[in-house]
Amino acid sequence: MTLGTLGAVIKYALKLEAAVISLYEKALETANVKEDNATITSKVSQGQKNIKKLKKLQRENTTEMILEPIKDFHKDSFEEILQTDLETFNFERSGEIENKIALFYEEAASKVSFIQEASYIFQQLALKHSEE
Amino acid sequence: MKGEILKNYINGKWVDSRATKTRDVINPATGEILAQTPMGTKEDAEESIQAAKEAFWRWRTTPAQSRIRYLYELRDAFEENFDELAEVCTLEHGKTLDESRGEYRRTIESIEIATSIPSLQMGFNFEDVAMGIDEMMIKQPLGVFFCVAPFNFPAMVPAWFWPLAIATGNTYIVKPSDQCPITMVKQFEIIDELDFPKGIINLVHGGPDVVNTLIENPDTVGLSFVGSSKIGNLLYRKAGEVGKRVQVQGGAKNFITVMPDADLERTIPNLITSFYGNAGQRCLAGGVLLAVGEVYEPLKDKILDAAKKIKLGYGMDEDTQMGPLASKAGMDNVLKFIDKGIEEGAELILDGRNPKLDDNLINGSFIGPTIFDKVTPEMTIAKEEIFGPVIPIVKVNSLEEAIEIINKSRYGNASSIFTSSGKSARDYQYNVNAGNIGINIGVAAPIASFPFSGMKDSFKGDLHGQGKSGVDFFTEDKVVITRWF
Repeated sequence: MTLGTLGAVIKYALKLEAAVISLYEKALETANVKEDNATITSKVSQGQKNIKKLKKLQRENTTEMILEPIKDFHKDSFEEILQTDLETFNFERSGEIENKIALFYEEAASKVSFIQEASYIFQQLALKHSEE
Repeated sequence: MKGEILKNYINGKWVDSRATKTRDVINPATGEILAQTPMGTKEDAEESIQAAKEAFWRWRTTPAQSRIRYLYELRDAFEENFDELAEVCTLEHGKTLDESRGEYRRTIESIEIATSIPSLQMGFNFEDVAMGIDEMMIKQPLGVFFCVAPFNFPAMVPAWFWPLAIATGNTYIVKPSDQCPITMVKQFEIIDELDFPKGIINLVHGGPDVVNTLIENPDTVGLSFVGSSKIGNLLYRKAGEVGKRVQVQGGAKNFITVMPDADLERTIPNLITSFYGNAGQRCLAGGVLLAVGEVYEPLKDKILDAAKKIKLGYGMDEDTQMGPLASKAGMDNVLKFIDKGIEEGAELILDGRNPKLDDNLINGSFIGPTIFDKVTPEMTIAKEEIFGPVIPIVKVNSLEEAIEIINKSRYGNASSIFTSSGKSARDYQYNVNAGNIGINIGVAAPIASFPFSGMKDSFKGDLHGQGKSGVDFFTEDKVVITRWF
């Protein structure tokens, strides 16, 4: 399955962010180390900021005159994030998930290079996730 | 809103039209009826003019800083309701959601520019034009203006005009497209919620009866029109005869020239959006592809390959890359052009007729990406505006030949060149007689602070829409010469 428009890429990114927030919120229920709690809370908060950033991008940078079709952006390799089981999720897997999302944003940045503002925001989001 | 007869918004209230006839507003992707446009009457138009006239004096004496606060609130409300507004635009027009989002961004930008009126409307002065005598110029609003809007950008085009008009102190009447009116109804619902002063901005639905009344009534001062050159020229003459200010943006046939030194990897996707964006229904859409010299074969192959991959479908699906034509009539018109191209000897290398669609779209007005090769400049498809997803490819030998063909066109809305040569680009912008020039940009759409230019049969009038030209259109320059004894 491919993502063929900027709107489709943003919609998918929103799904990924929401899915990860759900995982972290679930992890928060079971976390029993104080340090972990702070880390997870911070990740949830960052995820919410990312969603706001994506929605702002969708409203403000969908530049009509240079909207170009997107080629060969396959989403299959990111589906596992959406399929992660909430009940069995172990917070130790967060690094792996964050890396995967960072990869998604890196690819998104490259695929929407025709709108430089959008590409830059995806690069920033990739950085955010790789820093996590 | 299914089947509901839309109301006019006059003097701060939703009112029924006196119309006895209505027109179906149809979702062009599914064929579903969304609403009914009342084909308004002379009395409807007169009612709106009276409301705007009565509101004028109070509004023009309201300080500009206070006037624009309504626009700030409107801007914020559009941001808050952005998704819903974009969806309505897609539902009634057919364009993709991304295209509707892009259109609303431009709409909001036009409102934002109008909030600069306290600077943009400033006049100037000069001391001692003779000893002890000073002179100044002030820019004053004129009264009741109106626009006659097209279907292709039902949100954005009215916003080229009305925010500047009311920010400068005029009052306004929007006559939306009778084919795609719901977009403006949604905007007026927000205007109503924000409780703009009554009468300063009005909405009246209809067709020729309404437009003729708006022009002929002595209480209106000016008209902005965007649509076909045929209707535009008619309105231009009619409005001129009764001394109205007019700006008419008519049809287009935008030539896109690709030079042998163009970066084809970057050029092809941009050509795709130029020719097929909004299903080819932009007044800035690519109309003819001029392939210069040796770029012809690779350009043809690559654009054919890219066009075949476009995903045609329902604009409400995020994955859709191209939606339907905005109406059956529009689709039939494009089909006639395709037949004409075949009849006149062009080679149809990609046939978008009868595209394969999902079952829920079989009543839609779809034509897929279409390409004609071996087109000559004399053919109808190279001369007339198709307003659909069709690329006629014309092979030319040189830039000079390309410019000669472009300048023979009766239209002069826009034209673009794709090249890596600064010299070619400069020659192009210098010599091509079109109002909006793109250099490695296939849709040369000026932002709201620039005039939306146009020449020849694509524009009639003296002052363009948007930017400072728009401010000048909506104001009169008054000169005051002062001497104190």
